[in-house]
Amino acid sequence: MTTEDFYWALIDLANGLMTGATLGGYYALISVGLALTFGVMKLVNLSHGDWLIVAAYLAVVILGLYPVSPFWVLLPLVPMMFVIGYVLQRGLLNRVSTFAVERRGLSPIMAMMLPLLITFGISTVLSQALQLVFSTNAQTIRNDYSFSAIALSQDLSISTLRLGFLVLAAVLIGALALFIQRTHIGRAIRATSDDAEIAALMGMRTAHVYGVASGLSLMFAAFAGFMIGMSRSFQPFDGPPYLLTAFGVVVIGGLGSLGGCFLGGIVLGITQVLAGTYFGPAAQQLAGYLLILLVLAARPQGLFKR
Amino acid sequence: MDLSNLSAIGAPPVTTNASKSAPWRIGALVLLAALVIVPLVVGTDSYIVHLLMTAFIFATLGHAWNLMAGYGGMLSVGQQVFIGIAGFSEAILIYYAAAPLVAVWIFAGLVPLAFAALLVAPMGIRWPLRRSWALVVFFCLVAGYEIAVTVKPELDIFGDNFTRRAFLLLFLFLGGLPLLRLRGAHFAIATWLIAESVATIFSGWPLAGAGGGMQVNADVDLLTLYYLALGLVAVVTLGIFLWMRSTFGLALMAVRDDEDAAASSGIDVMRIKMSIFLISAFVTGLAAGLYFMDAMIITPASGFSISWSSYVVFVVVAGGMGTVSGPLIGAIVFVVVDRILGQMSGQGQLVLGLMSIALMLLLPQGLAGLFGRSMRRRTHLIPFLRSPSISGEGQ
Amino acid sequence: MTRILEVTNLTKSFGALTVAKDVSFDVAEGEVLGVIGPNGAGKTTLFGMLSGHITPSSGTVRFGGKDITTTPPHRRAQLGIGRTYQVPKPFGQMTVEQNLRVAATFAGQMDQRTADQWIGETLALTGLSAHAGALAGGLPLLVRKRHELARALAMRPRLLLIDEVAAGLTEEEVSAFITMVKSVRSLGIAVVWIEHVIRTMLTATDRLMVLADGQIVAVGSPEQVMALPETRRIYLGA
Repeated sequence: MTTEDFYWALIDLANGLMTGATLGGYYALISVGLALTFGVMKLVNLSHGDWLIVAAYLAVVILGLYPVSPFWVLLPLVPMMFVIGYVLQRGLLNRVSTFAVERRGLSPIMAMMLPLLITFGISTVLSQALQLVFSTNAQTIRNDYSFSAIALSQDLSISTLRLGFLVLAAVLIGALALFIQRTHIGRAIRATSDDAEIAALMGMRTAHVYGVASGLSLMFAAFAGFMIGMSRSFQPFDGPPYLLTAFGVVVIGGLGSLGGCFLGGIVLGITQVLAGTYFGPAAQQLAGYLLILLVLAARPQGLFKR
Repeated sequence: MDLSNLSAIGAPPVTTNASKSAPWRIGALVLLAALVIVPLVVGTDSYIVHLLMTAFIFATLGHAWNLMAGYGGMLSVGQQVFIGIAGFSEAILIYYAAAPLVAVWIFAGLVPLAFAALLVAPMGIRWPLRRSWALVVFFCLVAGYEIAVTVKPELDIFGDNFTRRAFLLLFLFLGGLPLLRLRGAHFAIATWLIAESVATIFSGWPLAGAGGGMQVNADVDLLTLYYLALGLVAVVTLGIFLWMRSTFGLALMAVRDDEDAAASSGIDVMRIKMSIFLISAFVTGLAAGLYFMDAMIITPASGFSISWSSYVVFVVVAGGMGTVSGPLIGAIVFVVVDRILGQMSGQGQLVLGLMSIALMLLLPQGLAGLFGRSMRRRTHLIPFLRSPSISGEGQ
Repeated sequence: MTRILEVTNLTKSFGALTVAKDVSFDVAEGEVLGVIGPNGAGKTTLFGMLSGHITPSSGTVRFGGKDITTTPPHRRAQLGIGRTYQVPKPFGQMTVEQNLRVAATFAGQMDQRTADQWIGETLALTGLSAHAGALAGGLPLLVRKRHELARALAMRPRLLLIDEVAAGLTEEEVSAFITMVKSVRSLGIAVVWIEHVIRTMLTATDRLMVLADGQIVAVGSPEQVMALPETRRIYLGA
């Protein structure tokens, strides 16, 4: 191997690691909503990926009506998704929570399955509805940053958007952690996630707390959907792969832990990008899925939990 | 099948069972006879024949999923992996070997069965080989093939290096995955991931059309397909019905209710789950085989689509989870909604999705549960299910 | 007396945490051995290793002279080890009678006639005859605990492992349980009984074993063991 070969091998690796790590922020933002609902109410929302796509479409619609600089769209989008999440939880998902199912006298196996089946149904409905309204044409949020990059050296560069999203993810997840630790409703969320029954006995309104958690979850889906729209094109049926990725990140990071999402995202991002670098683009997705399957099988409690 | 167990399991004595279930047996036979005659009455190429055949296929798919989810407590959203594999193996066998119809059909069941065996074998290997040794042997086979291809490129049936390696590695990997240890959402997501991974590989496999799909020229008329589908759904329904009345049914329900306690009560939990998983894959493959003979074309997008799982979930949820009649009722509703209303509005899947959400909220026991309660009381048709399997009416 | 269960140097660690260390003891046929110890002493882990749900890090378990250290739970049940769970785990969607039948059929490997008879006897012994047709998931707590014992008995075990039944029961109910266990013993079934409440164990057991921090602190007749300073230190904090 000549010195030059060695140099390029190093550059490839460095680029891979860096892209992968920034991709980690992207994945963390995609999955933090799922981690939240899982952590608080043990709900795996199988329609999570579709909500990201819904948010991305909403962003496109809003920008179509009011052509401002893309970032302003977050201002209406984020509260909008919060409200949708809150209403969805109180109107629908609370009715199939473990308690509700038990109260209706259904078996524990049904308590496990109903929320999964319902959110799976929601996933179908959302993607079909998106197709009905927007047809299957690929969309994107037009912006000036898509192709800009910050050059670190002659051969090393980093995508501006990706870096921006890494920072955004760190800030938002930090803010969420603070929110949960410091505010009244945050403490209620924590208490409910520890033991919903006791929290209810202490006078917390579980239904409301679950609603807020779900609202926050979709609020993060709004950020993530916006980010997806900014950095790539999307179609009505793109939701499921995002769900699978998000679930993988949540599992790798240790179920329900917010910081874990970050680590999980970075591990997944680096794995995918390296697989893509060395085995071609087709391997990227596959490597991610295999990593998730491996963690599911070997360490279902997550890589970073003892 | 040992039906003598029956009396002991349900509280009522066996004699009343036999006499009271007689109308049911006659009813089922009359229905079967009517379905046999239908094509002769309405014309063999009629749209109704096609609709009924579709209903039979989806009822069978529903039975297979219900076996896992409703009886076994394993919620799979990855049934499409068996469907896609069945369709493609059928297409490949027809295209490359011009095999006769029956052989093709059986093959469409056997390949998913083999794939399912690969997925669950590590959990309960009963052969002389231990799990790790099985993997070593498998790995050696893969490595040997890899070397053989390097020496003689014409041995490569995968077309290019990436597809071949990804394919073999994926299968090696899946062979080591303790899938049946996973529960609840983890199991669901794992099945979904497996389906997506296999689909990725089929999208790049030149032998299978490299993503463009393949034709399925089975050279079979609608009437033959109709009778094959009718026979399949009849056999599967009867099989499950009898199975649930045997001691196996007792074990199955124990496993569903509590795995640890089932093991402590002497039940080999993994073997039970494996049996269900394998049978489910085989039955799904057979049904999918008929479907694609009718559709005449398969692509990775159509074969491995997540829609399959949402269809099957609808069929079972609408009919009633954990019941024998559920998938039959659900399949009829499915055909009416998706094929008839759906074709008029073009939004079949949207309606199906909305309906399944509404049904789960209002009628978690499905349509079978609507009139099932009084019926079960009167007839004691299915002693196990009389103590409601999914509902908690007794409480 | 023949020894039905022989446990030798059983050790279990989860990473750096050792929850059982060099535990050795044996149980004779028809004997009731009580196991007591504070929370976290490793009692339930020990049970898991006896019933096969937990694989020991080292050491052996022999049952009826046969090494069963790595035998899976369902095989152990078929060999004649029955167990109850601290938190009852009924097959909730099946009737009490069906629950018992599962154990009799699969673990006890009885034919139907034998099973019918034995299930009837077990129901009578545990006072559940009136509940035979009820769904096991809907039983009240006390009945649920009896049911848990009944199902383990229905397999006609040679060794019965009982995991904490006294918690949450009144004194009267506990003494009813003690009577039940005594009649179990009279059938020639050996019993290992874990309990947190010591008083229960004094009258019910032939021998008492004290566990603390995963190790055996004392073994002997209940009076002897309770007189030992080690036991007093653990329980009275003296």
